[in-house]
Amino acid sequence: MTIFLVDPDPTDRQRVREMLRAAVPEALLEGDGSDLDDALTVPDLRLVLLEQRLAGTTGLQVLERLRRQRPEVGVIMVTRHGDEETAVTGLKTGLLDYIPKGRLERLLPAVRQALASPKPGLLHGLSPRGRRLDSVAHDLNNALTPIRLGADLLGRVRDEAARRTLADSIIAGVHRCVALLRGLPELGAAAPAEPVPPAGRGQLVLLAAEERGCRDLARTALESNGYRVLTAGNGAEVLALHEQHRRHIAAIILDLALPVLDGIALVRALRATDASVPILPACGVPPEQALLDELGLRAFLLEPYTGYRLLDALHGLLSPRERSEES
Amino acid sequence: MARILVVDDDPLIQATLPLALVEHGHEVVQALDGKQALKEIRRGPIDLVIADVLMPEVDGLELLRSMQKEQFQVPLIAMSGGSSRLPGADVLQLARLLGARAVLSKPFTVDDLQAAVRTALGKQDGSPGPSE
Repeated sequence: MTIFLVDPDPTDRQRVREMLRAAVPEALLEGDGSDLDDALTVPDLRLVLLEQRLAGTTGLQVLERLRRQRPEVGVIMVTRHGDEETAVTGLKTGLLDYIPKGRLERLLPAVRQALASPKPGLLHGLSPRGRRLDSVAHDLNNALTPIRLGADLLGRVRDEAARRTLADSIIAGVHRCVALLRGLPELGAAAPAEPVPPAGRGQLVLLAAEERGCRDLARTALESNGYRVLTAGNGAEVLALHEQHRRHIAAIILDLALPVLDGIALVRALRATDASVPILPACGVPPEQALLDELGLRAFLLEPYTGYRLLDALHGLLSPRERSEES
Repeated sequence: MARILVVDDDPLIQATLPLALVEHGHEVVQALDGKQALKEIRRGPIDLVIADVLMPEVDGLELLRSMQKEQFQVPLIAMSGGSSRLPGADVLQLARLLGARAVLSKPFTVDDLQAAVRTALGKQDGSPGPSE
Protein backbone atom coordinates (compact mmCIF):
# COMPACT_ATOMS: atom_id res chain seq x y z
CA MET A 1 0.00 0.00 0.00
CA THR A 2 1.25 3.45 -0.83
CA ILE A 3 0.76 6.93 0.58
CA PHE A 4 1.48 9.84 -1.73
CA LEU A 5 2.58 13.14 -0.21
CA VAL A 6 2.11 16.18 -2.42
CA ASP A 7 3.77 19.33 -1.07
CA PRO A 8 6.04 21.83 -2.83
CA ASP A 9 7.79 22.74 0.43
CA PRO A 10 10.73 20.36 1.08
CA THR A 11 10.92 21.22 4.80
CA ASP A 12 7.24 20.45 5.34
CA ARG A 13 7.61 17.25 3.37
CA GLN A 14 10.44 16.18 5.61
CA ARG A 15 8.41 16.82 8.76
CA VAL A 16 5.47 14.77 7.50
CA ARG A 17 7.78 12.06 6.21
CA GLU A 18 9.41 11.67 9.60
CA MET A 19 6.09 11.52 11.41
CA LEU A 20 4.77 8.84 9.07
CA ARG A 21 7.93 6.80 8.86
CA ALA A 22 7.88 6.19 12.60
CA ALA A 23 4.21 5.28 12.71
CA VAL A 24 2.89 3.57 9.59
CA PRO A 25 4.39 0.79 7.46
CA GLU A 26 3.04 2.04 4.11
CA ALA A 27 5.45 3.07 1.39
CA LEU A 28 5.67 6.82 0.96
CA LEU A 29 5.93 8.51 -2.42
CA GLU A 30 6.66 12.22 -2.47
CA GLY A 31 6.18 14.92 -5.02
CA ASP A 32 6.00 18.69 -5.29
CA GLY A 33 2.85 18.56 -7.39
CA SER A 34 4.49 18.55 -10.81
CA ASP A 35 4.48 14.76 -11.17
CA LEU A 36 0.86 13.98 -10.34
CA ASP A 37 0.06 12.01 -13.47
CA ASP A 38 2.49 9.24 -12.64
CA ALA A 39 1.58 9.09 -9.01
CA LEU A 40 -2.15 8.83 -9.64
CA THR A 41 -1.65 5.64 -11.62
CA VAL A 42 0.19 3.84 -8.78
CA PRO A 43 -2.00 0.73 -8.50
CA ASP A 44 -1.86 0.27 -4.73
CA LEU A 45 -2.25 3.97 -3.91
CA ARG A 46 -4.40 4.24 -0.82
CA LEU A 47 -4.00 7.71 0.59
CA VAL A 48 -2.93 11.14 -0.70
CA LEU A 49 -1.76 13.91 1.62
CA LEU A 50 -2.24 17.18 -0.17
CA GLU A 51 -1.06 20.80 0.25
CA GLN A 52 -3.57 23.35 -1.05
CA ARG A 53 -1.06 25.71 -2.71
CA LEU A 54 0.65 23.91 -5.59
CA ALA A 55 2.53 25.20 -8.64
CA GLY A 56 0.00 25.81 -11.42
CA THR A 57 -2.87 24.14 -9.62
CA THR A 58 -4.52 23.83 -6.23
CA GLY A 59 -5.03 20.99 -3.82
CA LEU A 60 -8.78 21.27 -4.39
CA GLN A 61 -8.34 20.79 -8.12
CA VAL A 62 -6.19 17.74 -7.53
CA LEU A 63 -8.84 16.48 -5.12
CA GLU A 64 -11.55 16.78 -7.75
CA ARG A 65 -9.42 14.89 -10.21
CA LEU A 66 -8.70 12.16 -7.71
CA ARG A 67 -12.38 11.76 -6.87
CA ARG A 68 -13.10 11.27 -10.56
CA GLN A 69 -10.20 9.00 -11.45
CA ARG A 70 -9.51 7.14 -8.22
CA PRO A 71 -12.56 7.43 -5.97
CA GLU A 72 -11.29 4.66 -3.72
CA VAL A 73 -8.20 6.64 -2.74
CA GLY A 74 -8.48 8.65 0.49
CA VAL A 75 -7.39 12.30 0.49
CA ILE A 76 -6.33 14.35 3.50
CA MET A 77 -5.41 17.99 3.07
CA VAL A 78 -2.36 19.03 5.09
CA THR A 79 -1.85 22.69 4.41
CA ARG A 80 -0.23 25.93 5.46
CA HIS A 81 -2.22 27.96 2.94
CA GLY A 82 -5.79 26.93 3.43
CA ASP A 83 -8.70 28.80 4.94
CA GLU A 84 -12.17 28.02 6.13
CA GLU A 85 -13.54 28.18 2.60
CA THR A 86 -10.95 25.65 1.39
CA ALA A 87 -11.74 23.33 4.28
CA VAL A 88 -15.50 23.43 3.75
CA THR A 89 -15.27 22.99 -0.02
CA GLY A 90 -12.71 20.22 0.40
CA LEU A 91 -14.69 18.30 3.00
CA LYS A 92 -17.77 18.53 0.79
CA THR A 93 -15.85 17.38 -2.27
CA GLY A 94 -14.38 14.34 -0.59
CA LEU A 95 -11.57 15.16 1.82
CA LEU A 96 -11.39 12.68 4.67
CA ASP A 97 -9.84 15.35 6.84
CA TYR A 98 -8.43 18.86 6.76
CA ILE A 99 -5.32 19.47 8.84
CA PRO A 100 -3.60 22.87 9.08
CA LYS A 101 0.14 22.48 9.45
CA GLY A 102 -0.09 24.19 12.82
CA ARG A 103 -2.10 21.17 14.02
CA LEU A 104 0.11 18.35 12.78
CA GLU A 105 -0.57 16.32 15.93
CA ARG A 106 -3.91 15.47 14.28
CA LEU A 107 -2.20 13.92 11.28
CA LEU A 108 -1.34 10.44 12.54
CA PRO A 109 -4.76 9.61 13.98
CA ALA A 110 -6.35 10.76 10.72
CA VAL A 111 -3.93 8.71 8.63
CA ARG A 112 -4.43 5.63 10.78
CA GLN A 113 -8.19 5.91 10.54
CA ALA A 114 -8.03 6.27 6.78
CA LEU A 115 -5.71 3.30 6.42
CA ALA A 116 -8.00 1.11 8.50
CA SER A 117 -10.24 0.90 5.44
CA PRO A 118 -9.16 -0.89 2.26
CA LYS A 119 -10.85 1.87 0.24
CA PRO A 120 -10.55 4.98 2.40
CA GLY A 121 -11.82 7.26 -0.36
CA LEU A 122 -15.22 5.64 -0.09
CA LEU A 123 -15.49 6.63 3.56
CA HIS A 124 -15.95 10.24 2.59
CA GLY A 125 -18.85 12.02 4.18
CA LEU A 126 -19.21 9.73 7.16
CA SER A 127 -18.48 10.67 10.75
CA PRO A 128 -16.30 8.24 12.75
CA ARG A 129 -19.48 6.77 14.21
CA GLY A 130 -20.98 6.60 10.73
CA ARG A 131 -17.90 4.79 9.49
CA ARG A 132 -18.09 2.29 12.30
CA LEU A 133 -21.81 1.80 11.65
CA ASP A 134 -21.05 1.31 8.00
CA SER A 135 -18.61 -1.39 8.84
CA VAL A 136 -21.21 -3.06 11.11
CA ALA A 137 -23.77 -2.79 8.29
CA HIS A 138 -21.32 -4.37 5.91
CA ASP A 139 -20.53 -7.22 8.32
CA LEU A 140 -24.24 -7.75 9.00
CA ASN A 141 -25.02 -7.99 5.30
CA ASN A 142 -22.24 -10.51 4.96
CA ALA A 143 -23.57 -12.53 7.89
CA LEU A 144 -27.13 -12.37 6.51
CA THR A 145 -26.07 -13.79 3.16
CA PRO A 146 -25.53 -17.40 4.32
CA ILE A 147 -28.79 -17.18 6.29
CA ARG A 148 -30.69 -15.98 3.24
CA LEU A 149 -29.06 -18.39 0.79
CA GLY A 150 -29.22 -21.21 3.33
CA ALA A 151 -32.92 -20.72 3.99
CA ASP A 152 -33.63 -20.57 0.24
CA LEU A 153 -31.62 -23.68 -0.46
CA LEU A 154 -32.93 -25.82 2.40
CA GLY A 155 -36.20 -25.95 0.49
CA ARG A 156 -34.51 -27.05 -2.74
CA VAL A 157 -31.53 -29.20 -1.86
CA ARG A 158 -32.14 -32.88 -1.12
CA ASP A 159 -28.60 -34.05 -0.39
CA GLU A 160 -28.28 -34.78 3.36
CA ALA A 161 -24.67 -33.56 3.74
CA ALA A 162 -25.47 -30.36 1.87
CA ARG A 163 -28.49 -29.76 4.06
CA ARG A 164 -26.36 -30.16 7.18
CA THR A 165 -23.83 -27.68 5.80
CA LEU A 166 -26.65 -25.24 5.09
CA ALA A 167 -28.12 -25.61 8.57
CA ASP A 168 -24.68 -25.10 10.14
CA SER A 169 -24.08 -22.01 7.99
CA ILE A 170 -27.43 -20.53 8.94
CA ILE A 171 -26.73 -21.06 12.63
CA ALA A 172 -23.22 -19.63 12.33
CA GLY A 173 -24.63 -16.64 10.44
CA VAL A 174 -27.21 -16.01 13.15
CA HIS A 175 -24.54 -16.19 15.84
CA ARG A 176 -22.45 -13.70 13.93
CA CYS A 177 -25.42 -11.34 13.59
CA VAL A 178 -26.12 -11.55 17.31
CA ALA A 179 -22.48 -10.78 18.12
CA LEU A 180 -22.59 -7.76 15.79
CA LEU A 181 -25.86 -6.51 17.23
CA ARG A 182 -24.48 -6.75 20.78
CA GLY A 183 -21.91 -4.16 19.74
CA LEU A 184 -24.54 -1.82 18.35
CA PRO A 185 -26.00 -0.04 21.40
CA GLU A 186 -22.75 1.80 22.10
CA LEU A 187 -22.96 3.06 18.54
CA GLY A 188 -26.56 4.14 18.76
CA ALA A 189 -27.56 7.78 18.55
CA ALA A 190 -27.57 9.68 21.83
CA ALA A 191 -30.72 8.11 23.29
CA PRO A 192 -33.56 9.13 20.96
CA ALA A 193 -36.72 9.91 22.87
CA GLU A 194 -38.53 6.58 23.24
CA PRO A 195 -42.18 6.90 22.24
CA VAL A 196 -44.38 6.16 25.22
CA PRO A 197 -46.87 3.43 24.36
CA PRO A 198 -50.49 4.33 25.16
CA ALA A 199 -51.44 2.42 28.28
CA GLY A 200 -54.63 0.50 28.90
CA ARG A 201 -57.08 0.99 31.77
CA GLY A 202 -57.41 -2.55 32.96
CA GLN A 203 -59.28 -3.85 29.89
CA LEU A 204 -59.24 -7.60 29.43
CA VAL A 205 -57.51 -8.76 26.27
CA LEU A 206 -57.60 -12.28 24.85
CA LEU A 207 -54.22 -12.99 23.28
CA ALA A 208 -53.72 -15.99 21.01
CA ALA A 209 -50.46 -17.16 19.47
CA GLU A 210 -49.12 -20.62 18.93
CA GLU A 211 -45.56 -19.93 20.01
CA ARG A 212 -45.16 -19.65 23.72
CA GLY A 213 -42.18 -17.25 23.61
CA CYS A 214 -44.09 -14.91 21.34
CA ARG A 215 -47.16 -15.10 23.59
CA ASP A 216 -45.13 -14.41 26.71
CA LEU A 217 -43.45 -11.35 25.20
CA ALA A 218 -46.76 -9.86 24.04
CA ARG A 219 -48.36 -10.70 27.37
CA THR A 220 -45.57 -8.92 29.27
CA ALA A 221 -45.89 -5.87 27.03
CA LEU A 222 -49.66 -5.74 27.62
CA GLU A 223 -49.64 -6.47 31.34
CA SER A 224 -46.95 -3.93 32.08
CA ASN A 225 -49.02 -1.31 30.27
CA GLY A 226 -52.31 -1.53 32.05
CA TYR A 227 -54.12 -4.44 30.35
CA ARG A 228 -55.28 -7.73 31.79
CA VAL A 229 -54.52 -10.70 29.60
CA LEU A 230 -55.97 -14.13 28.86
CA THR A 231 -53.83 -16.33 26.63
CA ALA A 232 -54.62 -19.12 24.23
CA GLY A 233 -52.33 -21.34 22.14
CA ASN A 234 -54.83 -22.49 19.51
CA GLY A 235 -58.14 -21.66 17.93
CA ALA A 236 -60.19 -24.04 20.06
CA GLU A 237 -58.88 -22.43 23.24
CA VAL A 238 -59.77 -19.00 21.88
CA LEU A 239 -63.37 -20.05 21.29
CA ALA A 240 -63.63 -21.63 24.72
CA LEU A 241 -62.18 -18.58 26.51
CA HIS A 242 -64.30 -16.23 24.47
CA GLU A 243 -67.42 -18.19 25.37
CA GLN A 244 -66.48 -18.13 29.04
CA HIS A 245 -65.40 -14.47 29.39
CA ARG A 246 -67.31 -12.94 26.55
CA ARG A 247 -68.82 -10.07 28.45
CA HIS A 248 -65.48 -8.93 29.82
CA ILE A 249 -63.25 -9.28 26.80
CA ALA A 250 -62.47 -5.85 25.34
CA ALA A 251 -60.40 -7.06 22.41
CA ILE A 252 -58.89 -10.17 20.85
CA ILE A 253 -55.38 -10.28 19.44
CA LEU A 254 -54.70 -13.38 17.42
CA ASP A 255 -52.08 -14.85 15.17
CA LEU A 256 -53.71 -15.64 11.81
CA ALA A 257 -51.63 -18.82 11.59
CA LEU A 258 -53.05 -20.64 14.62
CA PRO A 259 -53.22 -24.43 14.86
CA VAL A 260 -56.41 -26.50 15.22
CA LEU A 261 -58.64 -23.78 13.84
CA ASP A 262 -56.79 -21.34 11.60
CA GLY A 263 -57.05 -17.62 12.18
CA ILE A 264 -59.51 -16.80 9.43
CA ALA A 265 -61.90 -19.61 10.30
CA LEU A 266 -61.54 -18.58 13.91
CA VAL A 267 -62.44 -14.97 13.22
CA ARG A 268 -65.52 -16.14 11.30
CA ALA A 269 -66.53 -18.34 14.22
CA LEU A 270 -66.06 -15.46 16.67
CA ARG A 271 -67.99 -13.07 14.46
CA ALA A 272 -70.89 -15.54 14.33
CA THR A 273 -71.47 -15.04 18.04
CA ASP A 274 -69.97 -11.59 18.60
CA ALA A 275 -70.07 -9.16 15.71
CA SER A 276 -68.59 -6.20 17.52
CA VAL A 277 -65.61 -7.32 19.61
CA PRO A 278 -62.48 -5.64 18.22
CA ILE A 279 -60.13 -8.24 16.78
CA LEU A 280 -56.52 -7.48 15.94
CA PRO A 281 -54.99 -10.12 13.68
CA ALA A 282 -51.20 -10.56 13.52
CA CYS A 283 -49.81 -11.84 10.25
CA GLY A 284 -46.58 -12.07 8.29
CA VAL A 285 -47.98 -10.50 5.10
CA PRO A 286 -50.61 -7.76 4.86
CA PRO A 287 -54.04 -9.35 4.27
CA GLU A 288 -56.26 -8.26 1.38
CA GLN A 289 -58.52 -5.33 2.21
CA ALA A 290 -61.53 -7.34 1.01
CA LEU A 291 -60.77 -10.06 3.54
CA LEU A 292 -60.39 -7.49 6.34
CA ASP A 293 -63.74 -5.96 5.39
CA GLU A 294 -65.45 -9.32 5.21
CA LEU A 295 -64.18 -10.31 8.66
CA GLY A 296 -64.93 -6.95 10.22
CA LEU A 297 -61.26 -6.24 10.96
CA ARG A 298 -60.29 -2.58 11.16
CA ALA A 299 -56.54 -3.03 11.57
CA PHE A 300 -53.87 -5.69 11.52
CA LEU A 301 -50.48 -6.14 13.09
CA LEU A 302 -47.64 -6.98 10.74
CA GLU A 303 -45.18 -9.52 12.10
CA PRO A 304 -42.59 -9.19 13.44
CA TYR A 305 -43.95 -6.46 15.67
CA THR A 306 -42.55 -4.56 18.64
CA GLY A 307 -44.24 -4.06 21.98
CA TYR A 308 -44.82 -0.46 21.02
CA ARG A 309 -46.60 -1.32 17.76
CA LEU A 310 -48.73 -3.88 19.55
CA LEU A 311 -49.83 -1.36 22.19
CA ASP A 312 -50.33 1.37 19.64
CA ALA A 313 -52.52 -0.81 17.42
CA LEU A 314 -54.52 -2.09 20.36
CA HIS A 315 -55.03 1.44 21.66
CA GLY A 316 -56.20 2.56 18.22
CA LEU A 317 -58.62 -0.33 18.07
CA LEU A 318 -60.07 0.30 21.50
CA SER A 319 -60.35 4.07 21.65
CA PRO A 320 -62.90 4.84 18.86
CA ARG A 321 -65.16 2.17 20.26
CA GLU A 322 -64.85 3.58 23.74
CA ARG A 323 -65.45 7.05 22.41
CA SER A 324 -68.59 5.98 20.63
CA GLU A 325 -69.83 4.24 23.78
CA GLU A 326 -69.13 7.31 25.86
CA SER A 327 -70.86 9.69 23.50
CA MET B 1 -23.56 -25.28 -17.58
CA ALA B 2 -20.65 -23.18 -16.52
CA ARG B 3 -17.47 -23.54 -14.52
CA ILE B 4 -17.72 -20.75 -11.95
CA LEU B 5 -15.02 -19.34 -9.70
CA VAL B 6 -16.33 -18.07 -6.34
CA VAL B 7 -13.99 -15.58 -4.66
CA ASP B 8 -14.81 -14.58 -1.08
CA ASP B 9 -12.82 -14.59 2.14
CA ASP B 10 -15.94 -15.41 4.18
CA PRO B 11 -16.14 -19.13 5.02
CA LEU B 12 -19.93 -19.04 5.46
CA ILE B 13 -20.41 -17.62 2.00
CA GLN B 14 -17.99 -20.17 0.65
CA ALA B 15 -20.11 -22.85 2.36
CA THR B 16 -23.45 -21.73 0.94
CA LEU B 17 -23.00 -19.90 -2.35
CA PRO B 18 -21.39 -22.83 -4.21
CA LEU B 19 -24.30 -25.09 -3.18
CA ALA B 20 -26.69 -22.68 -4.88
CA LEU B 21 -24.62 -22.85 -8.06
CA VAL B 22 -24.16 -26.63 -7.98
CA GLU B 23 -27.91 -26.99 -7.48
CA HIS B 24 -28.30 -25.37 -10.88
CA GLY B 25 -25.81 -27.71 -12.51
CA HIS B 26 -22.75 -25.48 -12.48
CA GLU B 27 -19.28 -26.57 -11.50
CA VAL B 28 -17.64 -24.48 -8.78
CA VAL B 29 -14.03 -23.56 -8.10
CA GLN B 30 -13.26 -21.63 -4.91
CA ALA B 31 -10.70 -18.99 -3.97
CA LEU B 32 -10.31 -17.03 -0.74
CA ASP B 33 -8.81 -13.89 -2.24
CA GLY B 34 -7.93 -12.20 -5.49
CA LYS B 35 -4.45 -13.68 -5.63
CA GLN B 36 -5.71 -17.27 -5.48
CA ALA B 37 -8.44 -16.31 -7.90
CA LEU B 38 -5.99 -15.05 -10.45
CA LYS B 39 -4.06 -18.32 -10.22
CA GLU B 40 -7.24 -20.28 -10.90
CA ILE B 41 -8.15 -18.06 -13.83
CA ARG B 42 -4.69 -18.50 -15.34
CA ARG B 43 -5.02 -22.26 -14.88
CA GLY B 44 -8.50 -22.10 -16.46
CA PRO B 45 -10.90 -22.74 -17.96
CA ILE B 46 -13.24 -20.48 -15.95
CA ASP B 47 -16.51 -19.27 -17.51
CA LEU B 48 -17.52 -16.82 -14.80
CA VAL B 49 -16.07 -15.20 -11.69
CA ILE B 50 -18.24 -14.19 -8.72
CA ALA B 51 -16.10 -12.06 -6.40
CA ASP B 52 -16.60 -10.04 -3.24
CA VAL B 53 -15.49 -6.47 -3.71
CA LEU B 54 -13.89 -6.01 -0.31
CA MET B 55 -11.36 -8.67 0.64
CA PRO B 56 -7.97 -8.54 2.32
CA GLU B 57 -4.91 -8.51 0.07
CA VAL B 58 -6.03 -8.44 -3.54
CA ASP B 59 -9.75 -7.57 -3.54
CA GLY B 60 -12.44 -7.85 -6.16
CA LEU B 61 -11.69 -4.53 -7.84
CA GLU B 62 -7.99 -5.23 -8.09
CA LEU B 63 -8.82 -8.69 -9.38
CA LEU B 64 -10.95 -7.07 -12.07
CA ARG B 65 -8.11 -4.73 -13.02
CA SER B 66 -5.58 -7.57 -13.10
CA MET B 67 -7.88 -9.70 -15.24
CA GLN B 68 -8.20 -6.85 -17.72
CA LYS B 69 -4.47 -6.23 -17.70
CA GLU B 70 -3.87 -9.90 -18.53
CA GLN B 71 -6.65 -9.68 -21.13
CA PHE B 72 -8.85 -12.38 -19.67
CA GLN B 73 -12.33 -12.07 -21.15
CA VAL B 74 -14.00 -13.91 -18.27
CA PRO B 75 -17.13 -12.06 -17.08
CA LEU B 76 -17.25 -11.10 -13.41
CA ILE B 77 -20.10 -10.56 -10.95
CA ALA B 78 -19.19 -8.22 -8.07
CA MET B 79 -20.74 -8.76 -4.64
CA SER B 80 -20.76 -6.37 -1.72
CA GLY B 81 -22.42 -5.98 1.65
CA GLY B 82 -22.72 -2.18 1.64
CA SER B 83 -26.16 -0.64 1.87
CA SER B 84 -27.56 1.79 -0.66
CA ARG B 85 -26.86 4.99 1.26
CA LEU B 86 -23.44 3.92 2.45
CA PRO B 87 -20.16 3.43 0.68
CA GLY B 88 -20.68 -0.24 -0.22
CA ALA B 89 -23.13 0.81 -2.92
CA ASP B 90 -20.48 3.09 -4.40
CA VAL B 91 -18.19 0.10 -4.47
CA LEU B 92 -20.63 -1.82 -6.64
CA GLN B 93 -21.06 1.23 -8.85
CA LEU B 94 -17.31 1.39 -9.13
CA ALA B 95 -17.16 -2.31 -9.96
CA ARG B 96 -19.63 -1.72 -12.79
CA LEU B 97 -17.55 1.16 -14.10
CA LEU B 98 -14.52 -1.10 -14.04
CA GLY B 99 -16.35 -3.68 -16.11
CA ALA B 100 -18.23 -6.01 -13.75
CA ARG B 101 -20.97 -7.68 -15.82
CA ALA B 102 -23.47 -7.75 -12.95
CA VAL B 103 -23.55 -6.88 -9.27
CA LEU B 104 -25.06 -8.56 -6.23
CA SER B 105 -25.84 -6.60 -3.11
CA LYS B 106 -25.52 -8.79 -0.03
CA PRO B 107 -27.65 -10.37 1.29
CA PHE B 108 -29.18 -11.80 -1.89
CA THR B 109 -31.49 -14.71 -2.64
CA VAL B 110 -30.81 -17.77 -4.77
CA ASP B 111 -33.05 -16.22 -7.42
CA ASP B 112 -31.04 -12.97 -7.40
CA LEU B 113 -27.92 -15.06 -7.83
CA GLN B 114 -29.34 -17.07 -10.74
CA ALA B 115 -30.49 -13.90 -12.47
CA ALA B 116 -27.04 -12.34 -12.13
CA VAL B 117 -25.39 -15.51 -13.43
CA ARG B 118 -27.72 -15.58 -16.44
CA THR B 119 -27.02 -11.91 -17.13
CA ALA B 120 -23.28 -12.31 -16.84
CA LEU B 121 -23.09 -15.46 -18.94
CA GLY B 122 -25.52 -14.25 -21.55
CA LYS B 123 -23.48 -11.18 -22.47
CA GLN B 124 -20.05 -12.41 -23.35
CA ASP B 125 -19.61 -10.30 -26.44
CA GLY B 126 -18.12 -7.34 -24.56
CA SER B 127 -21.16 -5.15 -24.92
CA PRO B 128 -22.11 -3.23 -21.81
CA GLY B 129 -24.07 -5.38 -19.39
CA PRO B 130 -27.70 -4.66 -18.57
CA SER B 131 -28.49 -2.84 -15.36
CA GLU B 132 -28.70 -5.85 -13.09
